[in-house]
Amino acid sequence: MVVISVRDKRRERGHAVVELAFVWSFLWLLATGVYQFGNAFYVYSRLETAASNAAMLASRLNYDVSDSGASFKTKVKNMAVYGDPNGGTTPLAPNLTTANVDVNPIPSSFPTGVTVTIQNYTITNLFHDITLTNKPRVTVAYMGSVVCSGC
Amino acid sequence: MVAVMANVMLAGVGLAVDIGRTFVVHSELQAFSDAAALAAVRDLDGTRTGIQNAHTLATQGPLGTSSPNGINFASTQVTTATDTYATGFAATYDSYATATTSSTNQYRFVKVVASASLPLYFLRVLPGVTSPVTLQSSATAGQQAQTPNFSNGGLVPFSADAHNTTAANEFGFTRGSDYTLRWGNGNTTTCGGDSGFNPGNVPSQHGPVDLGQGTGESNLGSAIQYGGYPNASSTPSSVGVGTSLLTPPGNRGNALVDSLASRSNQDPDQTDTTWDTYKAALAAGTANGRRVVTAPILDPATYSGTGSNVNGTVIGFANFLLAPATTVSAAGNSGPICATYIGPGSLDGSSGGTNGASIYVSMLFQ
Amino acid sequence: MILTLMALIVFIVDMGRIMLIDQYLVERARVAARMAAVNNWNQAAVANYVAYNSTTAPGGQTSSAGLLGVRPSQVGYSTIGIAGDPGYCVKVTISGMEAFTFTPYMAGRFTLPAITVSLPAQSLGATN
Repeated sequence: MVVISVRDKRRERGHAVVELAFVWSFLWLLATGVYQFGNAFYVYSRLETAASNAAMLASRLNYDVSDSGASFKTKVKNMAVYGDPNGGTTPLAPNLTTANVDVNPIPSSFPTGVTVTIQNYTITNLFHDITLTNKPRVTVAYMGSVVCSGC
Repeated sequence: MVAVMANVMLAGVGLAVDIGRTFVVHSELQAFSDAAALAAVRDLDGTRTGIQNAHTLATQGPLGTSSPNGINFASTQVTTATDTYATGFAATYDSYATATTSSTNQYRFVKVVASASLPLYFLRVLPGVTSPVTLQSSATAGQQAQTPNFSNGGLVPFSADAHNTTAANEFGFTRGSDYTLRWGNGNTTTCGGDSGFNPGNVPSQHGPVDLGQGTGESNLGSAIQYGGYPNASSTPSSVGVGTSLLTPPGNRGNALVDSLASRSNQDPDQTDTTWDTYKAALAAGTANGRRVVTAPILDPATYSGTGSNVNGTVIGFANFLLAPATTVSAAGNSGPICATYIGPGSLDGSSGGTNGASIYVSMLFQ
Repeated sequence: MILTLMALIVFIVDMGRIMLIDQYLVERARVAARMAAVNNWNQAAVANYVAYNSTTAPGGQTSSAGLLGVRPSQVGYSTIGIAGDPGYCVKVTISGMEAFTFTPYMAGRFTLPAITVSLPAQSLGATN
């Protein structure tokens, strides 16, 4: 018959406390990391998809030179933020607004390409926010028609 | 206990981190492939040079290294991309080397396959999981042959006379030759492709057409410089094969030739006079495509009416390269205006197709 | 102590699993929207593709859950704009997905945010 003395039980609890002390920081790192990085990748993936699909739209929309492309940029920004060129209410990614989207026709007069960039977007995390600067970013060839509605 | 559960925990972290990274990189690879394929397919114009230009775009992306569609959170350029070419969506796709064997071709489809290697940091602890993993995406873009039905602009209000009515043989036009968009006084022309061609019983200085912009100078100038006709509010509201178009005489004073010169001048390239050299300028970014126009092709045998009320029937569409602005202006009010035929109607430049009764539109097919 | 350790370990695995589901939904919606843009698909085909990676449900049973529990009933498909216009888009939405957590003090059932992906229509099944 094995007799576990009180002293042994105290030693066992002591071992558990020491083990917890050693591994706590490691486990805490894993716990926060899995959430921080997992959430960041999840949001980045949504932004990348939004930017890519907005760029695809930009490649074919009419570009109106009479407003210097303002209406073109508005539609592309709406596409990036709401998934609809006409606008919407629910952004595709948390807290994404049209101010976070830059639409750059290259060159601005008669574009041959368009770059859609997500800029100054902050991924809100539990412990540490991550600010994305000029990414994600997608460039496409412009294949649409240049028009002049005011001409 | 922690040591025992370490693999489980690392696998849990790997689910979020490693797999999350693979999804992001896969999405970025797809964005690269899509943009590269669409940029490349526009360069397929039936020539070896077109394939070569397409190859550069397919492997580097629309703006190459100056604005790359990167992967791994836009930090790395895609370095492994292959391109193959086909004459039809379901046809055999030839390698780049095979596609550039002949100086002419009929390729209309390009498939871009991009791949990247991604190391796994956590999931590799699991048995059977290897690192790195190879991610791949593909995109097939093509020039779709659509039944032409212009109702959202896209045409210039000029036409060229078909030399024969066989649309499948590009109406008898020769790529690289000049044809007349507006004939001169007495229906004379200096355009080499129309040399010896008799358009028949047509009004003097014919060539301009009414796409719905009317005959007023303001709308005519706008239509020449920015298209916009036909549209839902114009008459006709659409133009396709079989549409009868009014062909008013081309003696319109300065409005017509000045507007066409302005259209040409929208392009920064004012030096290249052949499609081959202009293509090189497009690839180099020193041309912007504004000198490439799509015009209806009329069958001269269908001209009917007299004076300002002559109509002709559209039998197809074609793309032309306008001359530099100074050359256009030199035609003056009554001289012939020539443009270089570069291929069947295409909304994206020239095409690898040969059917002038179709309009070729670039898009993703897969 | 043991409980604290176990809770933390379960949390790590829980978070990894839920993050995977979130990221997987985004990937499925993205892929399905792109496939819808180049194919002539309807609501049923898109929904089945999201859930089962095939336009038809296995055995014709659309009520069964696909990979990671996605069901065709949670998938919406629609179009934006007028067909033939440059701005004509296809749109895929995945909503109503639930995730379960087992971490002590936060165990339960949560509904994940809806995922929407839309992009311009492309060939829509054309082959020429």
